[in-house]
This record gives sequence, C-alpha cells and structure tokens, in this order.
Amino acid sequence: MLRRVRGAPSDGAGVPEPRRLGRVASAIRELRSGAIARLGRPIDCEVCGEELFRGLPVVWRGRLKFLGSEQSLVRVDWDKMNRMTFSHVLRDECDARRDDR
Amino acid sequence: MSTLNAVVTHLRPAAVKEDLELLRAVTPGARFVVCHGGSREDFEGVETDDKVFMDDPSLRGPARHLQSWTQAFEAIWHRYFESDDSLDSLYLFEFDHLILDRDYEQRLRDLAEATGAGLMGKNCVPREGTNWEHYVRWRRDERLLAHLRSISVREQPTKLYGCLGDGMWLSRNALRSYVAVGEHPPCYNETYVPTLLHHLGFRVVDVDSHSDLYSHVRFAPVFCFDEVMSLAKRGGTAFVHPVKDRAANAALLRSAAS
Repeated sequence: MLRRVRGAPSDGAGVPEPRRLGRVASAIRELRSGAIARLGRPIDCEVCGEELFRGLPVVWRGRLKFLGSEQSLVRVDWDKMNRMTFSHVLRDECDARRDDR
Repeated sequence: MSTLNAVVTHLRPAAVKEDLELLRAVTPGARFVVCHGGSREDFEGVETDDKVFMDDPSLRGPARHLQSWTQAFEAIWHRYFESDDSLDSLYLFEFDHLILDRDYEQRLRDLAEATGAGLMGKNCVPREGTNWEHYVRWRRDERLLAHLRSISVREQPTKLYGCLGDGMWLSRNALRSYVAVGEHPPCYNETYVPTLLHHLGFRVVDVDSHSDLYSHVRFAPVFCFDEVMSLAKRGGTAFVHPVKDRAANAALLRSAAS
C-alpha cells in the first residue's frame, strides 16, 4: 500500500491532506465545544461550590467520558454507590481551602 | 547549616550573570550554583565556578514531557554535598523564579523543621483520582511502577504524587537517598521527584498547606512587570514565579543595589 506523502494533494480535493485534516479536526472541536456549551451541566467543587467545568457525560464501553473536564484540574471520588463527587486538586484554586492553614 | 541554591537555566551568559547579580544582591550570603541546560558554549561563557552542565537529552525534548532533575541532583550531590557536611538542604528553582525575601532560606528551613519535610514543593499532593495530565500519563507505566515497587517502603507502592518542577526544597538526606537509588526510569520530574521521595520514606509537603511562602508561585499565567514591582514594593512576598519580563529583574537589581 502506498503512503500519501505529507503535504501532497489529496485525491480530487485539490487541498493538501494535512490542511484538510486540520479543517476536519477544527470542525469537530467546534462541534464538541458547542455541544458542551449547550448541553453540558456545571460541575461544582464539592468543597467550595465553585464551578470546576461545564461537562457533558458520555458512557461508552465501560467508560464514563466527561467532555469538558479537561478544562480544569479536578479530583474525582465516589461518595455513594451511585454518586460521584468532584473537587479542586490544588489548594490555591479552592476558595474553601485556600486560607485554611 | 546552610542551603545550596541551584538555579536551573538555559539562558545566554549575559542573562545568567544578571540573574546571579540579582540573587546575590537580594540575598547576600546565600550560595548559588548554576545548572545550565543550554548549549555547551553558553555554559562555558557563564562567569562562575559554581556551575554544572546538564546535557541530559530529556531537558531538550518537548516541553513538560520527560524533563528530569536527576542529572542536576547527582552532579550537585557529588560536587557539593559529599564533601561539605554543613549543607543541610538543596533549593532548586528555575531562572524565572524570583526571590524577594533575603530571609527565605531560614523561612524554608523553619517550615521544613515544623513539618518534618524531606521535600517541599508547590502543589505537592497525591494525584490519584485526578485528571492531572501527568498522572494519567504515568499511572499505568509498568516501568515506573515496577521501579517504585522495588524501592518503596510504603504500603501502597504505586501511589503517585505531583508538584511544580520549580521551587523544590530537598533535605540533605532526601537528596542523598535520591542519588543513591542509582538507576531511574524515564519520568517527568513533576511526577517523579515527589513520588520517588515519598516511596523512599520521606515526607513530601505542600508548601501552600502550611505557609504563604508560595502564594505567588504558580505554573501560569506569567507575572507581568507591574505585578512584580507591586509585590516587591508591598513587601512580605518571598518568591514570584514565573517572571519572564527581564525588565523586572533589572528594576529589582537597581532597587536592591540602591
């Protein structure tokens, strides 16, 4: 099987392959961001109550993916058999713990 | 007892000279060693005998990937600590970590004594159950986990810690133990240093949990000139990181000299 040379024109499109893939990736990212903004729910820190991120849960093949969670650094735990909790990892980001020394 | 201060830099000799002048002006009496991770030519041009060249390829790879402090720790231990029992601690920081308080060594030592720390750092906390990018990268790295299992004195030998790579304070015993391990697997220093020292039996301490020393130390965003000068004028601030505006260094040097 022949490999496409990086930067070579794609079949018929007349647009270099990496650029075309970049546009597709960019469109997917925009779609994803739009879905999170419209359908996502605010996820708050269980300690200070501040919003950690706006997330959209997706369950797939034994995994729970939280779209949007990559926007912040968070710790996750279970506090009931069917409930997860989220909190800040870093003390200086958490209003309730920042000055608690 | 005294602290050896290791300044990690890759800057040109003239900039390193300015940085050392500022450090010496703000903290007369403190002892500094330059850990240079730039070109050999720039290293040779740095005007001090207290310097070590770091040619570790990990320091020249992609940012925040595999950077290791091991070479710096080994060089510093063998060259300075082995022959000088008066050195009780190492303070390693990056060139963009400014020191504003001349008493910082004593403040760090006091905090270490109060907490029993072997390592102190910014955001030095366990990272399990978090989405920290360097935790999710390393949590199933079999080479790292096997290494930790082989040396750990803890009940949970695969527990991973994290901290900022800048502003690490190590006790003499912690540095000796780190170097004595000998072989180290590839791992990013922000994960590896606190994790290894925890598993070697040392207490790793989050500075923010006990003190305001690191109130103005962070990963991002960069402190601008006005912020730095405001903190310096106000007083009470020990450290500021990251500061990339060289004008701030120059202004602080003028202020310290006058």
